[in-house]
Amino acid sequence: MTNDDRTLIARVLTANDQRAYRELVNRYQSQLRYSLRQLTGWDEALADDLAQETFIKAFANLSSFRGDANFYTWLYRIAYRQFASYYRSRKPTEPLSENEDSHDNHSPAVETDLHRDISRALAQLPPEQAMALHLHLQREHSHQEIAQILDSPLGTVKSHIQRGREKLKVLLSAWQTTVTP
Amino acid sequence: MNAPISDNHNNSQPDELDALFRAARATEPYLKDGGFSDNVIAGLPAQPGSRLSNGKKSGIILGSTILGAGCAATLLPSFATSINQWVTQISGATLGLPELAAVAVGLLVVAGTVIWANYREWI
Repeated sequence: MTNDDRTLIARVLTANDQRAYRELVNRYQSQLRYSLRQLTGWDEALADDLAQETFIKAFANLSSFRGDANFYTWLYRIAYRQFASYYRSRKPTEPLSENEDSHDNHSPAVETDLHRDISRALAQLPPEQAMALHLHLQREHSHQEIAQILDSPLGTVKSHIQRGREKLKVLLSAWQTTVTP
Repeated sequence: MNAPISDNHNNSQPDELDALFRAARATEPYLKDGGFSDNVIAGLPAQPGSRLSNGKKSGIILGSTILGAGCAATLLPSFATSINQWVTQISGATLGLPELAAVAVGLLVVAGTVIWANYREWI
């Protein structure tokens, strides 16, 4: 955790400094909102609602943040719980078609399609698996870090990632001929 | 040419899924705030993490109960001077009006304290 994060958190806890908390929000809002968009099938309104609830819950529980992990890691743990809670209450989404139109170049529109298609694929997976894959593939966290965030055993995380990768390969097969490893 | 898809992510040879997410990471957009932070700040509770320990919570509830009973005892002399009668009445069929009023006042004080503590997010 950066010294800046520690300083801001200390100011929030000791002086109820909401400007300090706004700074923390500014620092992590884009990452978190994008993550939740990728997990919710690119539902921007839903992702922002979940992100907002995450930051509010983080504020309310800030005194329980021990500082032994990154604030970012702790924030994502709260976000995962919010996402999983929503997932349990939602209706199932339509499955992603496996016969998407081919994508022949990396124009900005194609890049947007990539983000949306990844999100639609992840949205078809169970929340813990989707989050593990997102944290591993998009955020490049180690298995150990993911296990911390999800509060899951390391072996479970590895299993989620291994199985999830196979599912994603099928769901995103239309993209895989256009991107060179 | 399509490289064979590796089942083991620990292999040094990245597969096409890794390449896909590398492209996603490289093109991840920065999401402008657009009022998001304002909404978060507007939804914050009064104080951050101002939660009491369980011992303190219990102390508040116990103290408010004693306070409520004390208020009832002060306001209702019959309650203060006829404890035996009150006990007898509890074990009997009915309670007298003063005793019921004392219990009601005490419960109101406890309920009000719990409600106020919850409002302040102490519990």
